[in-house]
Amino acid sequence: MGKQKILKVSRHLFVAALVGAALTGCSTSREQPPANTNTAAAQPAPQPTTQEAKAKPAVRVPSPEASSKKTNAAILAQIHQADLKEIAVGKMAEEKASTDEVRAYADQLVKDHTNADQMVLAMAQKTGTHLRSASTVPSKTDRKLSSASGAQFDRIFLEQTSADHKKLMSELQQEREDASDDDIEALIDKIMPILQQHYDLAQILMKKEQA
Amino acid sequence: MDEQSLAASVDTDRVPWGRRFAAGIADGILSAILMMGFMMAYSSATGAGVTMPLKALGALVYGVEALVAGSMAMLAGAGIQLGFSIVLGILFALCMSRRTSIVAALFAGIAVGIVVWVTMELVVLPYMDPTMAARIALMPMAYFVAHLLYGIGLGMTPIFVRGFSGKRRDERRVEHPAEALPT
Repeated sequence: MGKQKILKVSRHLFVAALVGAALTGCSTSREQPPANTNTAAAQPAPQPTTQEAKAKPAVRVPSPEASSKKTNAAILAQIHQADLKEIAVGKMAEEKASTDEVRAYADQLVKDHTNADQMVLAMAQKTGTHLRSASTVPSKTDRKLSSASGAQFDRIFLEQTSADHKKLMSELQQEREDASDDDIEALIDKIMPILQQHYDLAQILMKKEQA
Repeated sequence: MDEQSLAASVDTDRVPWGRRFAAGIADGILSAILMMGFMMAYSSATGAGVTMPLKALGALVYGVEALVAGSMAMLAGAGIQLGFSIVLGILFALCMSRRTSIVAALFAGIAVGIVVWVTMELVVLPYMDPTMAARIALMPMAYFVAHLLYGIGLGMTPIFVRGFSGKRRDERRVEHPAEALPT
């Protein structure tokens, strides 16, 4: 009888362990990306959730390679998001701009950022980085642009693109200095002069609008 | 061959300056079309837009505004490409005679194309046209191939020189009976 009791208890323990393992597997698979994929979020280093922290009591120090990979993924995600935003705004401006020059500028924005995004996507695919698609929630400026028309639209559009490009350039400049990956450096080197052209053009067109 | 017939033969190889000039213009136009056509096709295929090479060249005149200046910037770009190509075509044609072999001209043309490419990369793009430099950085290989094509175009100069030499077939037959077609 004693042996049977022990067997029964051990069977219960085994089943409980199986159920526990299955539940843990389900919860982590919902939170984590597929294996061998770096999820690139807008933040450079996403903080682990409480559940993950509890599940891994031992603190792992990331290897320099892993942390560099995370930074690369974040840079790619940042450029990707900026590209998607400029493409969306540029497409809107192609339809709503009031002058030929602003329309031509919007057309150039769409073409250049589409090309830049293709380079980013190719690099992300090469490094196994998963890039998120554009946010569907319109920003305050997007709403402003949607409601504006004529010369007012042109002014808001040029101001926004100018500010966006200035911000992105300064961030990429910093990341270029910090980057340890040659591919990322080469990508930034290719993109930066194009961003500078967009910024210069926005400034020139704004001056013309003011005149 | 006596001295008199040798002099006559050399004389028939000479092509008047004016005709070589015309041949150079025609060849320059062909080379420009070959090069620009390739760049425009490549640019269109990669999504940069079919007119981007013209705008990038137009930036030599208009600066970065060439990207939004429309047809004027593109015309300026086309003018620069054609003008430069025609000048080189004329210089090339002036060095040719009716007897220059096409193979030698092709090698010389490709060498000139590479020299032009190096000059553009080291001098013109970084110092005179940074707008174009930024665009070319996205398609460096295509830009090199375009210059090879330009060189091949220049290598066709002997064909134009012969075509423009003004010797009609019947006249040549009189001067060189050996060239006469069999009856």
